[in-house]
Formats: sequence, structure tokens, C-alpha cells
Amino acid sequence: MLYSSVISERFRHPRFFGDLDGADAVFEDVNPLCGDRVRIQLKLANGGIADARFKGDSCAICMASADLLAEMARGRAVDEALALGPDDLLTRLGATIRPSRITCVTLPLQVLKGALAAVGAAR
Amino acid sequence: MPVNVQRLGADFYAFSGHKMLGPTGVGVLYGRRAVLERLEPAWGGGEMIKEVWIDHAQWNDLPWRFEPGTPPIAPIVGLGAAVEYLSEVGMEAVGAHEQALCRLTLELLAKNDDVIIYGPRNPEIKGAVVAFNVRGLHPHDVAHLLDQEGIAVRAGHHCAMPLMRRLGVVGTVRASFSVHTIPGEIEFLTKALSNLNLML
Repeated sequence: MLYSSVISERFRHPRFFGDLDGADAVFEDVNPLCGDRVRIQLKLANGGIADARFKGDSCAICMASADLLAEMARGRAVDEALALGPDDLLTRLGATIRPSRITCVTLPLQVLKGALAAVGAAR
Repeated sequence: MPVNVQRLGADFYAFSGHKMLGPTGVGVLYGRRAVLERLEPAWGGGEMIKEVWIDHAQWNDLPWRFEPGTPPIAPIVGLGAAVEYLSEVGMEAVGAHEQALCRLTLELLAKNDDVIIYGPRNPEIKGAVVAFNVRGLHPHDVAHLLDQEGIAVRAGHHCAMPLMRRLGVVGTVRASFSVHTIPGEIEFLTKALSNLNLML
């Protein structure tokens, strides 16, 4: 096992990979160091995130992180989603990520914040 | 590759220490004397002046004119040792060794259907590097997997993002060789690559 069973599983079979028809918020960003690219699409309702999908051209860590984040963001109030941090993801990923790869974990968080900011949902 | 700057007729020739067994943070900029004599110094500092008056100064002779301030003495001594070592081995021999390793790498990698090789296939027109990708895996994951096996490669866009875009990839993995690399290590690399998909 290279990283963790969660990362392998989410990389091979992501649950929230794809497009969201009629998304309310879309944001995409890249990590200039390694070229990871993540795009997050959100459906918003009643001050919360009703649904989330991601797309990406990225490494296994980043793919797994984005997939988990989409799962964790769904059903959360915007404020709660914005409060999600690297530790929440690292706990779920269950792997020791070395410092040089930590941006692979945090890129999806940055993109989620960007998506919420783009529609004025983030204060 | 042996380099003769005079035969090349180069006005300038630059190289960095860490790419030839030397320390980081040190390199050489060769300049043809006739060109250097016409150049004004870009930086001021100790040793680049001969005499100073209140309203003007006379620059020092070459090469001090272009070496102001306290130099990184230890890295320069280290680079000197690297140059001595490589000169002893002989750059012809270094080139032949690296070319043979490059040929072997290209041969062995070509046998793996999951490996996509980039760049020329003719070792005679290549440096001692081979860039590749493994189908279905991100270059950084490949690098991490190889690292677990004790193999150091570089992964990413290699400071050439437009080229990566042109190739339609996020990046590549790059194996590079030096005088210390032996054929057994290339076989080790290619064997590790054939087991990669099972590891992630």
C-alpha cells in the first residue's frame, strides 16, 4: 500500500467525480508546483451546500482529497463547509502526507473556498 | 559532453555546479575576454574597484571587476573539486557511459506497454535523461512509488509548462543518470515500474 487504503480506493473509484447540471458555483484552480488541477461544482440551497462534484487532473492524494471534500461538504451549511481544514481531510485520508505533498491535500479546500467566494456565499 | 568554449566561439557560456556533481548555489559564467573588456560591471562591492575618488572610480581588472563582494568560498572550492574529478575521469568517458545507460533505459522502458516515453529515441542526440509517464498514474504518484523503492526521479513540468501543454500531459517523470549510475540500477528502475500499478 502506497499512501492509504482510503486514497487508493478514492483514487480508483471516486464517488463525486463529474459534472453537476445547473451548478450554482464553479471554481477551478491549479497547484503551480506540481500541475494538479481541481474544479469544484456546487449546488446551493438554504444557506448550505446541497450537492458537490469535482473534476481534476491530479495525483492520487489530490483526487482522494477532492472526493472526500465533496462528500464532506454536501449537506453542510456554508459556514461549516468553510470551517473545514486540512486536518479534517488528513484524518479521513488516513495517511502520513509528507510536507512536499501537503498542497495536494489542501488544493481542493482552496477551490471550495474559491467557489463559495465567487458566488458571494463566503463572508 | 566535452566542451571547448574557444572552439565554440562563444561570447558567453554558463553552467551550474549542482548539475555536475558540485554544490548548489554556485556556477560559472564564462565570458570571452574581448567582450568582457567592453562590459560595465553590473554590481558594486569589494574587489571590483582598483581606485576610488570622491566623484569617480577605476574598475579592477578581469575577472575581479565582475566578482564583487565576498564570494561563496566553500561552494566554489567544492565546484573546483568536482571539476577536477570529472576532468580526471574525462568528459568523453562520462558521455559514453551516460549514453550507454540512456540506450539501455530506452530499450527496457520500450518493453513496458504502460510506459510512454517522450523525446528523441536516439541516445546519441540526447542528454543523460529519459522522460516518461506510466499510463493511468500521475507523475508525482509514480515518483512517490519509486521513492518507496529507493529510486530517486524527478516529476512535474520540469520548468517547461508550455511543452507539457503541447504534449497534453500534466507533467512527466524523469530519470537521469550520472557517472555513478550502473546498468543494474536501470534494470532495478524498469522492474519497479512494471509493478507500479499494483502498488497504488
